[in-house]
Order: sequence, then structure tokens, then C-alpha cells
Amino acid sequence: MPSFLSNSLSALQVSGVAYFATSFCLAQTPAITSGGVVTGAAYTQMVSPGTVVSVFGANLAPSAATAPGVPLPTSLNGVFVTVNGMKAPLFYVSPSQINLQIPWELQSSIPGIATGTFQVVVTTPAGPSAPAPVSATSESPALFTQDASGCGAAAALNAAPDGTLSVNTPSNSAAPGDTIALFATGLGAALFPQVPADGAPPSVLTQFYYGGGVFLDGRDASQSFRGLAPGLVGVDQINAQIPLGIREGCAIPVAVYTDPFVSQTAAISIHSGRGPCVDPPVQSYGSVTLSKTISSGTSSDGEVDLLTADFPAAPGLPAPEVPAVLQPGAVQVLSTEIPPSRSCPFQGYQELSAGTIQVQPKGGNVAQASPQATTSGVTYQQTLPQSFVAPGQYAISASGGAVSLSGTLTVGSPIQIQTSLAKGTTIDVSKCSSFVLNWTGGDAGTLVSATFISETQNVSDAALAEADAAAGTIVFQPVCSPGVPGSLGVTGGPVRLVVEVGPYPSNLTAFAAAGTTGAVVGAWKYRYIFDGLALLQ
Amino acid sequence: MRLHTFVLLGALQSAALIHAGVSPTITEVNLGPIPLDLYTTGNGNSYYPSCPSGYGYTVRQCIQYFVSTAPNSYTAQGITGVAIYLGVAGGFNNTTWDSSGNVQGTWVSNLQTLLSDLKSWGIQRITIRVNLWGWGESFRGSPQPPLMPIPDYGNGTTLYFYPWIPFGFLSSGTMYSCKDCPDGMDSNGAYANANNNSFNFWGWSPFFNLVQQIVATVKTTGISFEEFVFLDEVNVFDFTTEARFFYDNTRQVDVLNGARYYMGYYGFDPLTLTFSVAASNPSASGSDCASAWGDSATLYAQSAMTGAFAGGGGSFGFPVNPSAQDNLWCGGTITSANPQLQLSYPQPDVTDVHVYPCVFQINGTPSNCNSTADATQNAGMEYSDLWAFLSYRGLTGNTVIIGETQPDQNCDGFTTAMAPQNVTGYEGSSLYGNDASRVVLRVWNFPALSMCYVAPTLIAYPNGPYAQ
Repeated sequence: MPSFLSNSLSALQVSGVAYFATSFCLAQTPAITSGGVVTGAAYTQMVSPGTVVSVFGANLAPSAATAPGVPLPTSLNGVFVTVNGMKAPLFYVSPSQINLQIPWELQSSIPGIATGTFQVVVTTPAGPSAPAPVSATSESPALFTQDASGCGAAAALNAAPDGTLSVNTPSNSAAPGDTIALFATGLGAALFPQVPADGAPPSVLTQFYYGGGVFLDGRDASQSFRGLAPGLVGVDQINAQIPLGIREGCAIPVAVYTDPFVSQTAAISIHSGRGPCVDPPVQSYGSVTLSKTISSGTSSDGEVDLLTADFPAAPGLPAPEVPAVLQPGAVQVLSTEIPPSRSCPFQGYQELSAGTIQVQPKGGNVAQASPQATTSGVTYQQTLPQSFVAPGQYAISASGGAVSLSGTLTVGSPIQIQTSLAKGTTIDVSKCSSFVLNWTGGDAGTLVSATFISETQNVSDAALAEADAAAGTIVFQPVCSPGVPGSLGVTGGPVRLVVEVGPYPSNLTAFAAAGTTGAVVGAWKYRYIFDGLALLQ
Repeated sequence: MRLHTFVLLGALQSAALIHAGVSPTITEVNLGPIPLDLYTTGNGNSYYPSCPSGYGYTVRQCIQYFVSTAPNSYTAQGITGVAIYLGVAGGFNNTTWDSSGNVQGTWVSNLQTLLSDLKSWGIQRITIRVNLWGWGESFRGSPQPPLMPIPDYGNGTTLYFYPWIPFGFLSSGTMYSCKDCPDGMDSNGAYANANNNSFNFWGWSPFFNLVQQIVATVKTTGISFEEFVFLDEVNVFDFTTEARFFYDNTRQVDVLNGARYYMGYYGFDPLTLTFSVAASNPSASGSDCASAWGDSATLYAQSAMTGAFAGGGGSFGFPVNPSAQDNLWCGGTITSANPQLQLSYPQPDVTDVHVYPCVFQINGTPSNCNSTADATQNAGMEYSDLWAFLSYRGLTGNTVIIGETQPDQNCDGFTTAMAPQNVTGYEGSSLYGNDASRVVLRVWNFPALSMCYVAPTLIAYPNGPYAQ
């Protein structure tokens, strides 16, 4: 067992013991904290069969006890835990915390990626707890971290070319091209050649055989092994190669995913030549956007005018990409990962402040946006007065923070959508017929984008088409393959259509700015949301 | 001397017949579904509407008429290879199994009679395809499989199940118009997570028994086994659950090798047990793009299947973020998030693609073909795409079978003009230029049911569009 995994479990135990000293009362029945059933690696609130899970609460055990070995027992110190009525293997029990493995057998009760619910009950000599519900899916990826907090440095081993293993730390970096081993839980139950017994480590080398991977600084890294960590219970291991040419630094983002779920983002240290890491110079950028959103078919229809802004900064942060514009008639599928229930602050990553941002339409009143604190700095999201955003010029300035800026943003014309998109409308592309979105208005040289967004049973995906506002039309032409109904590449059923008009991505307004290394740009957007539609394909 | 001349002429004629078609490419005919239950006993469902009704022919007699005795019979046109489709469990009057999954002796006997007949009527090569759903079960009568109150993978309609298939099928509803589509359309997770038919699946033994019986019967009759199409128009791009017919991950059963075993056991090339796929037509003449696998997007189903057979590191399913352009899924990427089989398989020795070249059009016809647009350019492009696929994948030694392609009849949205355009495009393609002698053009006919397809169709020697 890698030492940091052993340390990880120990750290959890220590915190549990500390809680025990203040809260244990023998006569009281156990009580699970609301939301207290979480993954043992990232403390995220989605679990799956086979995973390591922590249960937090009070009076969960008479005293602390650790499983003597494997296979793990299902009763420890007079305590047992059931998940949907099935006894779970126990790593550790204490008055405030229990670490357990969700039984593999429960995978048959999970309908694929759909979210189900497990009911967790802790029973002590004093009696059973009330059932605690926890969301459950077939996969719930979560990375172990070195300090057992679920954030920061990932539990990762560097595999040197000579085969030696060492813990990845800022003083012991991996080099591009090296292989690292990451440790996680919740990568899934589709195992080959066999699913191990509950509470037992795999008896043979056991791999996952369907989708999943590693994001390293947003890039998909190739993998040489992805399966159960030999000798460990409920722990997954991924051996991945660090891509050549990757950004180097002391905290390069790493996450693991199983389509469509993605883990929390932790960090590894990367440096050519290995050894101590060196962060590249901090790069920073900014954007300020005025938008008007008009919603229909939603639970809160209406109009919202908004100012949003952010000024991200990080070592070596690359400039925001300028997305290419789609050709007329093309439909781009955009899949979306399902993020974890918890995000981590990241060393060296900041959201800079520009102080108070002032926006004044020509001949109108000034509106102000104040920074709002986040875990990594500040962000801006200011609701503006009704009808504030309209065609015309806006003077925008900001001072009093690390970033200052000034400039004029010219907001273009809205469009008037002519296609009937009332709530309940069914858009049928199954017979290969196109969906045509028509509008009037808008300015030539501005871009209209339309996106069908499907969010069904954890799956969120989108189909995007674009056209110049002067075209007045976007055509969603499905693909109609032999034997397959016409499809836009997204999941059918309930969908919403989001139509946006704004400047082309290559034609944003550049502001005069200080305090950033890169550009600070201004944009505007009219957004029309049509919810409650149905896509038949 | 006179006798010698006769023999010589006969030999020349035989050679011409054998090579009838787009020389040196072989032309065959695809007869579609055959109602084997009725083969020797009658024609109870009024099959074969082109069969001379005044004769009161049985199914057997009708097939003989088309194959060998009609004025333009297939053998008279020089056609010596045919494909037949066999339903299961009552589908298209094929009762392969009894209600418990036992292979029916009567059905096997009828298959043997059919194959022997075909051989005696001049057919030398046989291709057999098993229809497991669609035509395979649509005539099976009652009881229809029950709708199960469980959601399909990733959506919300109900499913129905057949005892011989390890996944469910969609019922049409508000999300799909696609009845008979496998569970989990366009869902990469479906291979792993879609319901494995825990309701009425017999297990794999009845299926393997059926494969063994078919292969053994072909062996017994002595007809040349050109191809065993294990699953027709497989599509592990859109329906990843179909990959359970390669490897059933829910039961850890190596289905493909299990079936290939019987081919080898009876002395046939195991790699001629294969899967056909369908090619796609672009909506603009000559429009083409690369799929996520690097092959032409017109061959996405072939690419996905080839990727699946490659096993670990080779992936199938829907690419990440492709774009739709001119009715093709262009680009995108295949990532490790795409499903994989835990085994790899040798690629088949036969590449069977169904190609109906035309310009795609949304017009509501069954073929979605633009009936007035010239199909020649798309035909040439699609056949060249196929040669590029073979070259890229190192499969240029394969036999290429265009398992279905247009007859010169105005049927199913195709027109009489499309068949010669198909041939012209083919002759201009790099497939013809580089590999013509390894190619089989198998023309779709379907005489059993369609009122549209006149049988026997005039397709090859001496005046059909596939003659040269």
C-alpha cells in the first residue's frame, strides 16, 4: 500500500477520534449527519458500488476500532452498517466517523448513470440510526489526496524510467513523458476479469474495461493501466503518461473521469528533469460582459440584465482560446462532464479584483458592480436595472483593485425570434427533417448561436449551430444514418434551446488595462432561453 | 469434332457466366428473407408475389423458378452466389427455436433442403445472415415480448426484450421514434450499463447451438460458404450494446470467438464469420469528411466495428464532440472515455459493407435518396473511401463484399437510374482500380415479400446494369 493511502486512512481516523472525545454518549443511538455520507477520497456526495465511503455523525460507535485485516469485517466493535439493507465491509469505526466500502453487489440496483439513492443505516449496541439517503450512480470518481483533505496534492506516484517509485511532491516532480500512478475510488464496477469479493482486494490484476481517463491540465493523458489497485480494497489505480509539451509547474491540475462523471481537481508537480518544481511566471487576463437574458418556458420567466466579469491569473495560464465559428449547416456536438459536488481551491490560481466596475450607457445612469469573494479571489456578477442593456455605447471603467481598466463597449442590436417555441413544443428530427430557427433584426457582422441542451438523468450534452445575424436563419440538419433515426447527437426528450447573439469571438472589444499580463476584453450578449421543449429523434 | 465444338462453346459460356458482372468483379444477388418454415409445405403468407401465381408454386418452387427456370433466372444471368436471410423464433416464418430455446429439427431440415436445392440449381456460393430482430421477429405473432417498466439507458421510455438477445429494445415514445432500436442509442455507457435482459434471456447456449447447426448444415450440403453474417448492419457507433454480440460484458461470454469456433470446427475460415455494416450517403454530391477514426465518415459504422475488434486501446461508440455536416458525422475524437472490449479479435477476412450510393435528401422516402440527383459521384467517392479504409487498416487482402446495393428497379426510394450510376461510380473508384477482382457486388432483390421488386431482377448477364 502506498504510504500516503495508509496515511490518508489514518488521518481520517485521527479526526474521528478527536470528535469521539467530545460527543460520545453510550446511551444514545447513532445519528448520521445530514449529507454525512461521502466518498472517502474527496468527500463528495455521490457514491457508487465498490467505493470507499466515509460516514460522519454522532454516536456511530462505542469507541474507535480498525479492521484487523482483509477481508474486511462487516461488524466491528459491535457496529455494523447497512447500505440498502446489505452489510458493508468496514475499514474503521469511531463515534464520529465510519469508513466502509459500498458492497459491489449493489451495482445491480443502479440503473446505469441514472442517479439512484442508497439508504445507509448505522447500528450500534444502542440501536440503529435513522436511514441516511445518499445519491448513488454506477460511477463516482474521486481522487485521493496526500493530506486526506480531498484537495491539493494528488496521491500520486512517480514511476522513474528505472522503475523506482516515489511520491509526487513539489520537490519531487515528474517530467513530461514520465508515467505517474494516481489513486482514486469510484471509477466503476465494469471489471475484468472479475469483481472482487466485498471487503477483499482483487485476487488477480483487475482492470476497468470501459470509458474513463485522466485530464492533465485539461488534456487527455494516455493510460497504461486503469483498474483496481493491487492489494487494496475499494481503491482504483490509473497509470498515465504525462504528455510531452504540457505546462510545467508546482500545481498542475489533474482529474480522473468516467464518462460523464469527473472527479474533483487535485494537483501534481511537473518539471522537466524532475526534482523541485519551478512555477512559470503568472499570466492573467480579463473579460467584462454585459448581457440580457430573456427566458420562456422556465419556472422564472422574464428578463435579467447582468454584468459579469472575471480576471483569472495563474502560473503559465494560457490565454483564453478563441473558438472557431461553425460553417452554415454544421451542427457541433458538445458533451459536458458532470462535475463533482465539491471544488477545490488551487495553489497559485487567483481571481483578481478590479475593484468596483462602473458601467454607464451614453446619456444614462451609472451602474456599479462590486467584487464578490470566492475561495480563490473575487468574481463579478451584478444584476443591472431592467432594460439597462440595449443597443448603444457604454463607458466601462474599473479601479481600486489589482486590475484597472477603461474603455467603451458598443452593444449591438437584439434579434426577434420568429419560430414558435412555446413550452411543450416537440421538435421532431427523427424522420430526418430539419429544425429551422428564424429571426429578424440583429446586425450584420454579429454572431447568432443556437444550442439545444439536453439534461436527462445526469447526461448533459448540447448541439450547437451558428450563423451571422444577417442570415436570419439557422438550420439544424440531423444526421440520418441507415437504420438510425435522425439525430442531433444529443439525448432526446426534454430539451431547452438557448439562442445567443453577440460579437464574433475574434471581434471582442479590447480595453485599456493595467494589472494583467494579457488582454482584457469586453463583450455583450442577448440570450433567449426556451425551456420545456421536447426533442424527438 | 462437332462434339468438341459444343464442349468448347459450353466452356466459354460457363466462363462468361461465372464472370458475369462488372468484370473482374463478381455480381451476386441478395434474396433477403426466406420463409423456411414454409419451404416444402406451401406458401401460406402469399410470399413471392412475382412468382407465377397460376402455377400454385410453393416457396421451394418459387425460389427454383427465380434461380434456375425463369427466362431470366439468376443462374441464366451468370449469378452463382446468393445471400439469404434467416429469421428466428418465428420471424419471417423461421422457427429456429422452440419456446425453450431448443433448435428445431424441422427448421434445420428445411435449411438443408434449401441449400441442397440451391446447389443443384447452379448456385455455388452461399452467404447466410441471421436476423435476430426487425425481420427476425416481426412475424413471430403472439405473444409479443412484454414491455418492461424500466427506463432505457439514459432516457425514459420503456423497453422490450427477446429471450435470445442480451439487451432491450426501445419502444417508440416521446424521445424516440425508433422502435426496434437497441437500448442506449448514442450512449457510450450503454455497452456497459444497459440492462442485460435479466427478464427472459435464455443465455448464449441456444444461440451457439443455432450457429453450430447452420454451419454444420452448410458443411453437409457441400455448398461453398462465402460468408456467415453474424449480425446484419451492426452499428456499434450509435448502439454500443450491440457489441455484446462480440463480447457479452454482462455475462463475460466471448460470443464472437464462440461462434468462430464452429466455423473452424467444420473446416471453414473462421474469419469469414463477420458482420455487415451500412455506409452513409452525404447530402451534397461529393461531400466527404474524416470521421473520428480517420476513415471517411461515410464508413463510420465500419470504423467503429474495426475499432471495437482492436480491443484495449481500440474504441467504439459515439465520438466526443463530432460535428454534423451534410448528413455525416465529421471529426470529433475517440478518447479513452469511449467503450472498449476487454478482448481483441482478429479482423474479419471479409469486409461487408452495404452501399446504396445516392445523394441524401430529406424527402420521406425509405431510402432518403434524392431521386433526381446523379449518384455517380457519391458512388465513386464511397467506393474509393472503402479502398482508403482497407489501405489504412492493412486489410487490402480482404474479400470486399458490397452485401447490398441497388437493383435497377424503382423500389424503396431508389430509381432505375441509380444502378448504372452505381456501376459507373464503382468503375471510376480506387476500389475498382486496385482491387476489382476481390470485390463482390451483391444486388438487393427481396423477392419474398415486396410487390415492388420484380423477381428475378435483370441485373447481370447479358443486359443488366451490372453486366459488362
